[in-house]
Formats: sequence, C-alpha cells, structure tokens
Amino acid sequence: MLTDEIVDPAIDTTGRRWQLFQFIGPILGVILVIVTIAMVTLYTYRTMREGAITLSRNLLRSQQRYITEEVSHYLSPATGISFMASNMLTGDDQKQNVATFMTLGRSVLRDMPHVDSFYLADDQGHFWMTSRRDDDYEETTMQMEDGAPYYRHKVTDKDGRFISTDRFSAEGYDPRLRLWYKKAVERESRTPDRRLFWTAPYLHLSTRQFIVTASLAFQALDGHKIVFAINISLNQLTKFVNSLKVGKSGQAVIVDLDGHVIAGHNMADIGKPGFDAANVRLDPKTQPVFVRALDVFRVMGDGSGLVHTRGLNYVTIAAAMPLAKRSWVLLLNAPENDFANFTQVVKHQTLYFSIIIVGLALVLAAGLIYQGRRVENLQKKLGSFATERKEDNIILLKIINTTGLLDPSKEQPYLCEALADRSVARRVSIWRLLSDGNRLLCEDMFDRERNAHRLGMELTKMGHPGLFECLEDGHLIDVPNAEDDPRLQSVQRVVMRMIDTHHLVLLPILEEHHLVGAIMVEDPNQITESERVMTLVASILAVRFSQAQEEDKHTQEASPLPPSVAQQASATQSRPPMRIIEGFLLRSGEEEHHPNDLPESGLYPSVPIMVLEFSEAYSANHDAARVMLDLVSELTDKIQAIAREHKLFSVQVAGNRFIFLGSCSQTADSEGAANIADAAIGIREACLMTISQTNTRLMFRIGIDVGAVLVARLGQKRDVFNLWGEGLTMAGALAHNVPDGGQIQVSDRAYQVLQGVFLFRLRGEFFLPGSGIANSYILAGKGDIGATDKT
Amino acid sequence: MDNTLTGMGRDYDFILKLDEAVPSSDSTGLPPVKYNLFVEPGECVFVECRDEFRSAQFADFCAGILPVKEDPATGKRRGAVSCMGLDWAELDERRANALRGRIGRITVESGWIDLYEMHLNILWPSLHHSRAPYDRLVGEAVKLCQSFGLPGLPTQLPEKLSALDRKRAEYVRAFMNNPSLLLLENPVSLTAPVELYNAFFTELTAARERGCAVIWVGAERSAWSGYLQQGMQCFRLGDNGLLK
Repeated sequence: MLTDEIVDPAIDTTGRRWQLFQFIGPILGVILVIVTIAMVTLYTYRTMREGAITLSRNLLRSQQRYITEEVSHYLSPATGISFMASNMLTGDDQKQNVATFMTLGRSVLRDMPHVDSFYLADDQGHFWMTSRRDDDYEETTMQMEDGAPYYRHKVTDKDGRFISTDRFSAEGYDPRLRLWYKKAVERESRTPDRRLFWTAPYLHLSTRQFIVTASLAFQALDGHKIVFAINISLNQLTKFVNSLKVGKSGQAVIVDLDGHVIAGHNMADIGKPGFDAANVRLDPKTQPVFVRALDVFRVMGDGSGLVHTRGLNYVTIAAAMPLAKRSWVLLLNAPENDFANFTQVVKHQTLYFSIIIVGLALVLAAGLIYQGRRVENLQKKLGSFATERKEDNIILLKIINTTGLLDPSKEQPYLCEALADRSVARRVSIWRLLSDGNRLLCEDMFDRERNAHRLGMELTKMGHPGLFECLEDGHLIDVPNAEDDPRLQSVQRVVMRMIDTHHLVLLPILEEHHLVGAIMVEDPNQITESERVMTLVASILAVRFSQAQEEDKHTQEASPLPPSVAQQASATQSRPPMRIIEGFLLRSGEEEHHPNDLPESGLYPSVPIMVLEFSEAYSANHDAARVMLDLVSELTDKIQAIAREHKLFSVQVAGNRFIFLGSCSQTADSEGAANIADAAIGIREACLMTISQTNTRLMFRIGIDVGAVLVARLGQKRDVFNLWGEGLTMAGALAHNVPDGGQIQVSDRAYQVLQGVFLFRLRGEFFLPGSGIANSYILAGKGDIGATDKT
Repeated sequence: MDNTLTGMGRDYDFILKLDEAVPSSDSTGLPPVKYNLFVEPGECVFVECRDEFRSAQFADFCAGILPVKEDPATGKRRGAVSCMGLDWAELDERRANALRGRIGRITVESGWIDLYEMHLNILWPSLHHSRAPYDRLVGEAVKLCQSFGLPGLPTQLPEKLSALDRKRAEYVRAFMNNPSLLLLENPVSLTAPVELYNAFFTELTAARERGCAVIWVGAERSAWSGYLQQGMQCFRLGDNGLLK
C-alpha cells in the first residue's frame, strides 16, 4: 500500500466531517452566545441611553422654564412699574407729578434691590431722576441755576426726609436726545405689549452697574409728552444664573442673538474695575457647546439638541425669553453623563456579567470538546486494537498455512519477515544453538529496509559470554542501547554495528527448559504489539531447533571423526595455483609484446568504446552447452578477425561481454570511433549470418559510446591493461537496453562524432538523472559519404 | 454462513473479490451473469478471453468502472466487487479514484495522451495520487525503464517512439509506484524480444513478492504458459462468466 497517498480510500471522510463538526460545533455555540449577549447589551444600552437623554431633556426643559420665569420676575418691575407710572404721572400739575415720581421711585428702590434708578423726562427738556446714594436716596432735578443748567441732588432718607443737597453741572445734557427717550416716543402708538423699549445692556459709569433701561412714553393731561424710564441692574441676574445648578456640572447663560452675554459665567467679573461688561461674547474655544446651541437656535428656533464635543455628548436647550427682552436667548447645557451615567455603569456591569457567562460557556464548550476527543480517542484505540488483532490474525494465519513449518530441513524465511513487520523493527534474526551448546548459528536474518535475508553467521560462547548468560536466564531482554550493556557490547559490535542499530530485544527459545536458540529484534518500534507473534514464532522455532539438534547429534554419532584441520590444509594445497588471466582477444600493443607500449595509466576523457553482450548463451544441458560453446568460439574468431581488420585498440572478453576500445588517446579520435562503428557493423553482419545458420536462441546486442574511462596498468609487471569508467558503463547500458536483438545502439556523444559517416535511426529522447535528456540512436549502416571516402 | 465468509474476507484481505457480482452490461460485452473471483495478495490469476472488448470490460468491472447491476424490482445491487476490502459501490467518486490509484493497468488501447510527452504520461498517475517527491518518482521510473530495456525515461511524444518502446513505457507506467493490483490485458505479445518478456516476468514476480495481486487477461494461453505454476487460478471468460 502507498504510504504517501494524497487520498486514502480506506478513510471515510464523512466521519471526519462529523468529527470536525463535533470540534467546531461547541465553539460556534459559544460564539453565538457571545454575539447574542453583545447584541442584547447593545440594545439595552441604546434604549436606556435614549430614555436617559429624553429624561435629561425634560429636566432641562423644566429648568429652562424655571429660569425663564425667574428672569421674567427679575425684569418684570420694568413693565409693571412703567405702566403704573404712565397712569400715575399724567396729571396736569407737574410738581405733583414729580413728587409722585420721587415717592414711587424711592419706594421701589427700597424694596427691589435689582432696580437701579428711574428717569422722568418731558418734551420740554425737563429731567428728573431717583436713585440710591449709599444707604439713602437721591432725588435729582435738572434746573437752571445761576443761568446755567445744573443737576440739583437732594438726598433724603427712606421716608423722604431731607438730609442734604448738592449740585452738578448738567451742561449740554438734553434728555430728549437720549436713546431711551427717542425710542420710547417712537413706540408710543404701539400696542401696550410692544410699547416698552429696552436698551442694550450697558455699564453705568458712576455706579459700576451693568444695567439695562426700559422706557415708556405717554401723554400728560396738559398735552405734554412724558417718558418714564427704569434702570435694572443685571449684576444680580448674573449672580442668579451662576447660582443655578443644571444637572451635576451643567451651565446656563443668557445671550442676545449676536452672542453678547447678558448673564452667565462670562460675567463673573462684573463690577470689577476695567471689566467691559457690554462687550462680553461667547467664546467658541471655551464654550463650543453654547456657540453651537446658539447657532442651532438661530436656524431652528427654540428646542433641544445634542452636541458632541471634547469627547463628550452634551444635551442643550435654547429658548427665547418673550417675557423679557425679545432678542434674549437662554442657553442651557449639561453633559449627557450627568444624566445617563447610570447607563454606562449598567453597560459595564452587563459586560462583566457577559464575560462571566461567556467564560462559563467556554468552560462548558471545552468540556464538550474534551469529552468528544476522549470518545474519539477511545474509538481510535478500539480501532487500533481491532487492527492489531487483524494484523496478528493475518500473520498467524500465514505462519500456520506455511508448508513444512515444523520441518527443520525446510527454510522458513517468512518467520523473520513476520516478526520484522509486526514489531516494525529494522532487522530480525533467528539463531539456533548448535548441539555442542557453545555456538549460535544464524538461521535467518531479515533486514526490513533492504528487504534482504542473510544467514550463516556464528556467535560463540567464548566470544560472547554475556549473550549466552542472558539467554540462559530464559527471560525476554529489552536493552534500549546494547552498546552500554557490558553483557551485549560484543554482540552490538559484531552483529548490530553492521546497520548501526542500538535497541535490542532478545528472546531465548527454550524447549523443555533447555536453550535451543534465540530471536534478536533490532530497533523495534512496536515490541509490545508483537509479543503474541514472537511467542508463537518462538514456540515453532523451539520445535524446529530441538529436532535439528537431535539430527545433529545423530549425524555426529554416525561420523564421529570430523575432518581434521591438517586434512583440510592438505586439501587446500592440492588445489591448482591461482592464475591471473587476461581476457584479451586483441591486446593493446600486442605486436611488440612490450609493457611499455601500453598507454599510460590515467583518465582518458574521450575514448570510443563498444560493448557487445551475448544473451541466452547459457545452457544447463551438456550437449547444448557444447554446441553453444562451439558457436561462441566461432563467433569470437570472427569478432577477433574483424577487430584486427579495423585496427581496434583492444578487445577484452569479460563473461558474456566483449569490450572494444577504438583507440586510447587523450585527444578525441574520430578515426578510432569510425573504426569501432565499422567493426560493429561488420560484427553484426557476421554474427547474424552465423546465428541464422544455426538453430540457437543465442542473441547479441551492441552499445557504442564515446566517453571518459580510467585506464590502468595492473599486475607486478604493470603489463595487465584494464579500463573502467563512465564510458564503459554507458556502452554497457546501451548494449543492455538495445530495443531488439542484433541491433547497435549508439549514445548521443558517439552520434555527434559519427554522424555524416554512418546512417542512424533516432530511437528517441531519454532522461537519466545526472545526465539529463539525451537522444539515443540505432546504427543502421555505413553512409554514402563514408563509403566514398573509403574507396 | 455467507456472513461469516464475508467477515473472513474482510479480515484476511483479499485484494480483489468478485462476490456473486453481476455487471450492468449488455450481452455484447461482458455477459451479465454472476462472477466469483477471490484474489489474495501476491496471487496471479490468468483469465483467457479472446474478445478484446470483453477483456477490457472485465478489467473495468474489476476496477469498479463498470458498476454492479441493480435489481430493477428491489433496487438492490446484485453481488459486490470489492478491492482491498472496499466495495466499489459504497465509495464516493473521490475515494474510488484514490483506490484506482493503487491499481496498475495495461490496456489493449494503451491510452496514451498524445499531447503530452511520454515521461508525463508515465508519471501522471503517480503524481496525481501520491505526495511522493518528483525526483523519487523519476528515479523509480528510470529504474523501471532500464529494466524494461529503455536507456532512460523517454521524454518525447508517444507517437515518436517505436511500438516496442511504447510497450516498454506501458509496462513502466503499470508498475510505477508499487501497485497493489495489476490488471493486465494482453500484456505480452509473442513477437516481442525475449528480453522484454523476461524483464516483464521479473518485474511481475517482484511485484507479487511485494504483495501485489495480478489479474492477467489474455487471448493466448501460451503467453503465460512459461510462468504458470501449480496452484495458480486459471479461468476462461465465456458467455457463462468465469469458468475454471
């Protein structure tokens, strides 16, 4: 069976898919749980956040209503008192009117600290004013004194009792030219709710108050126009606005549509010297939320919004203040966190709970996977047990079915193979104790990697006492490294070092408690699995070896005197002496018979070389062999003659092969190559003719190459010529692989030298590792050009 | 009893088992009768059949290409053909193809793809079915080429080679990658050189030694007469199926 198959047909992949699902299923389940929890958390968070934002908007809205109301209350004296004055000061008695104005002013100033002062003017240029001076009240009348206009200040207490008086020049002052006067007169004819004129807030230089003036014009009974004005200080408003709490850290500010701040944090420095309260605007850098909210208000009007800046979401409310000055806008903002912070907390809590749930789910999934893997492993183990049992059964069946299993005269190579296969060992050997009890003879040794058997090795008790000691104990011995075990060191060196094995399992074979042999397993991988087979084989071998021992004893008894060493020595002496035979039909330098004429030893890079190989030249029948020998002799004579005729360098006989050398020189010799090709054609014709006349299966094949060979002069006299190398190997292979009998196959290199002179037929392109792709040719015959040259 | 036998068959691994199997063919090809054949590892079975088409269909039947007939009334399969313990009918296409990768075949029509060079033709089945390194496969192919009398691995188009060399290449392709089963349709012709004949038997014996089972379907008994030994199964493929 192939071990490197891409698809193993024995494995059903549908089962694998199920296994994969078993593994991935729980993980998918956990992922699904995580996704569901995440989605639920997200949904809950969004819902809660929206609810919190709605709630915070409502809160802000109520806050806004409260502030609007408070501001309206703050500014309401302007409306109320102005209209009250318009009714009270219309009498035709000017003095009475002024007295009423002063009384009204003083009483209002006493009860309403944010009201700064009152003005009264008429169309004749008269001007009166009531204001505070320290803890008292000041009544100012603009009048002519000493021919010049003066402000006459009369300081009174809260009940109007005179305290002091002084004057201040009013040169150039005409109330009728003042904005509050002119705008009030312009609005006189308007509906009551639009008659009141509000100035822009401005800083009152003498009192350092940031004030706004509201003025109302009306007509007295005497037909004169009168304008009543009330100044309200905004310093108190800023204090009020700043004291407001919007959420935890929200703010409020009152601005006009141009972004001028009326009241709010920007005005915290109001009243301090050098602070220009009339020119304070929203700062886009520090108050981006208010700026954005105002922008939105300008476009969209009243309403709430959500501004994201500085990494936070702010809820905003912008509202016009109809009860105060119309162009004033109240802006409120508060970070979303102030209201929705609990949703964040809930979100985090949900996340922690989710992590705990996911962790638990993961533990469960891991448990599920672990259980699945355990079941799978158990199944695998059961499967492997079944496979092992099956393998055991197959091997046992084969062993039992072996013919002559218990007959010691019949070799049983399968026993070693079975042991090697079952134990997946590198080598297994079976040793028989000879009847003298001192020698172990290797009956069979099987190398699993090389798939090769060998036998005949002997281990003596004298040479390996430790081994015999181990075996006589009668127990299985498992030594991970035999080199380290002093008892088995010698065995490792003699037997195991051959293939460099170290792990040795030694099983003594006992018959009736007597040692009869041993099994050696080298480098096994599955020794436990192979125990059954080993025991069975040991039992079989015990029977075989005990029989063999008995037969040995019988043989020894029958011929008690073994041939002595001396006799063996004399037998050796009677053998014919060794001869060195040179198998040359045509010897190089033959005519001179002088060894110095032989070519120098060395590498000859390009030598024309031909190999002729006889096949079917052997017969076991004596008569047929005689006929064959005659035929070969005849052919050899002809070959020798042709070789001489074509002046070949040498022809050597080696078994059923003839090696022809066209020439032997360091330079490429095309003439030598041509000679050898000529000779090949001649030999082919002569051999075919001879063979065709005889009833024989003898056939020959010829291969020609031009290649490198090593030439050597051997022997004591250096007169034995020999060669070997790549060229000879190639020519030999070409001869061996000729497509059909009686043909001459030529290599690509030889073809390059011989083309044009001889006729070739291309056999094809062939690949050889190390050589690459090369053409191979069949030599057909002599070409026309060559024939012309020859003639 | 049948079950016991089947169980034993699975346990003790027949390489090829035709168990009362009826092919779904018409009478012009392989006769639709019951076939019984059990081939163990290393066993060589000879089947004599003079009809080339029938031979080819029998080899296809063994290789699971020609399916087992189904009973039209019950829808059950009539018998089973299994290879290395695996029933062809129960294998999906992928596994069946992989199992066919373990079979070496010599067919009457050779089946060379003329668009590709011979070395690709030879190596393709092994490259398709195994992860064996290319160099190892080339080495094995070269070795087989040389034992079948080619100087090396042929690299030309199949049509450029002589018929004899193509036959050699066919042997190489069949014996590549240590097949477990060889389905040989008329693998040798008596006109081929005796060396090729001998080389084929050498490789065939080596493959059987490795445990490869062989089904040799041939027209002439004389082709295997030199190789036949006692105990080998011999059949004649006739109109009544396999006859001993």
